[in-house]
Amino acid sequence: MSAILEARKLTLSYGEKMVASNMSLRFDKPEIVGIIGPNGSGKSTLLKALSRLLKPVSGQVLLMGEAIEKLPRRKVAKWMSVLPQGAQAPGEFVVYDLVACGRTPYRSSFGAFSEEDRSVIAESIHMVGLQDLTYRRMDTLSGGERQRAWLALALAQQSSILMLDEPTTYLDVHHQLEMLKLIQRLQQELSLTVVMVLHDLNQAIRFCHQIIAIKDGAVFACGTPEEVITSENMKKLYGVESIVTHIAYEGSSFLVCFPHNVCSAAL
Amino acid sequence: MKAIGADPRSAFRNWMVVGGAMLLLLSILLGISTGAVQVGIGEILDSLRWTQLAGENQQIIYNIRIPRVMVGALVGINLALAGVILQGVLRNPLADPGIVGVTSGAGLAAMVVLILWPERTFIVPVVAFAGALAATGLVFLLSWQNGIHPLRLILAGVAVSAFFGGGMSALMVFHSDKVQGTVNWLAGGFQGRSWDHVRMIMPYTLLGLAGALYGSRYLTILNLGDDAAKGLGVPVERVRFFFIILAALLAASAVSVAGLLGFVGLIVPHLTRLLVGVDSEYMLPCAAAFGAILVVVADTAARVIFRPVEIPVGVLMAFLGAPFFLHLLRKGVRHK
Repeated sequence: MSAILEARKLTLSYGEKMVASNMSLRFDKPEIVGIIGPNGSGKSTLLKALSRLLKPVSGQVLLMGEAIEKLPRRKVAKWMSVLPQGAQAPGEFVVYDLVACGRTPYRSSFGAFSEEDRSVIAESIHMVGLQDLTYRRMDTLSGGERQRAWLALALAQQSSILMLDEPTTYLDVHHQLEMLKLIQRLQQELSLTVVMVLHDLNQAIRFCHQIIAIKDGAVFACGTPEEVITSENMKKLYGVESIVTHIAYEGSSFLVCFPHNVCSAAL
Repeated sequence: MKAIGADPRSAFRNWMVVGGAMLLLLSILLGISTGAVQVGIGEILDSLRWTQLAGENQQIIYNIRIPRVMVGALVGINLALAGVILQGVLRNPLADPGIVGVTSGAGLAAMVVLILWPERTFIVPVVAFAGALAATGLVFLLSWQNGIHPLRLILAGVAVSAFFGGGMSALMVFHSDKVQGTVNWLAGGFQGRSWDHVRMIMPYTLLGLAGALYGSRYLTILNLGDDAAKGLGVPVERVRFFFIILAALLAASAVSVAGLLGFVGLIVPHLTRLLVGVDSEYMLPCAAAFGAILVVVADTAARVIFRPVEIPVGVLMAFLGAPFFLHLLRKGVRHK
């Protein structure tokens, strides 16, 4: 059976700069996969290539077993939603306007929104809990509400794959957790495959089923949070000394990673 | 279906579309009936019935007033649409038809004719149109690199405009005795515009309206940025290319018959956005209507305020439009 999303021997460059070479990945089941790695390691570039925003120099991305470059754009947009990093809508947009854009792949060139379009838009706005702010201008919303509106746009595409590039940047810790919990809930309810670039290791541990660590344009480690987030790996990946341990709190056990020093070699 | 309530803007927006259309009709009638000779609605209708063309007033109406007002309306539509499209596609609120080189290209080409071959004034529209397209082509060539990148296009536009502007200044300096003849064209206006001019600009207006309505949804989505638009299945490069060409044709045809009326293309999009929001399906028709109203009303005022002296419509538009626009802007800011 073909994977939901697969990268085969991807070589990627950004302008003149080679970012990744010969990278292969498979996303087999509906779960949350986090991509981590130091700045400039190629995480975002990889996510762009996987979501057809960047053409690979060589290699292939397969979506549901078919070469993504050869699929019609609309079809890709029905299967996969993309939330780019730091996405910004004009301030005059109200939440509804933004979410309605998610119906683009379903609309013909002429004609207004169908009854189904409207019901999906309403549904998506409800799912992210913005129903009371439906007609509020984007520039009057908080950062967290804005990100949720973008998430609703992605949901309105009714796709089964969600590609998120640092969905929590620029948010405070409360809104970061709120956003990630929302993503977690939606992933379970809608059985989505979520691929997201994250910076915060503990959030990656807490919310991802699988973690892919990228270093210098290659997969450095790949597996469950327990397998990937180890003191040894953090040293090699980021050049930091860290304590990785389990802490028990109110009957639950959490894996935590506390980076406390940069490696002496790096100084 | 989960309820999210009705769009509170829809009543106002529909009212704006209907109101805009009615106001446009009114301003056209006002424009035709007002002037050195006042004519009534009855006489206007008579002159449209061909048989009654004998009278002097009917001659004035049919051969002078109607084409002049129509050119004004079409120019307003074209410049407003070009402005909306460029501001949307380039994601830059300061973009206007000048940004793709249209204004400077048309300006230099027209000035060459007006100064060096003043006896050939009648070819100015054609030459200006060619100049505008040549400048736009140059801007495209300079900014092309695997597609059109908005920032590169804007910078190339600034450079080309500066270069052509330099050419205009040089012509003015070396032929300072003949500058007088060019001043009116540079300020923009509709004096003596005829059915020929209507025929010249009309195809582009129709093309522009059709293209803008067809592509309006993509224009809305380009507002979200390239990556988000691509993620929604929009072929961003192709759409952007199509829109910039369309805007260039719209602006070039307007400038070639009316001279340099830059203001409309910059202000009307903002005004429309403040009134009806950013949804292109409402914004494009409204902007077209508002642009036409602004130009027709301004041209009518320019004819009658200091009668019998006519003031350049561009000057009047700037004096009336800029304060009105600032008023709206302040009100809009307070709404937030």
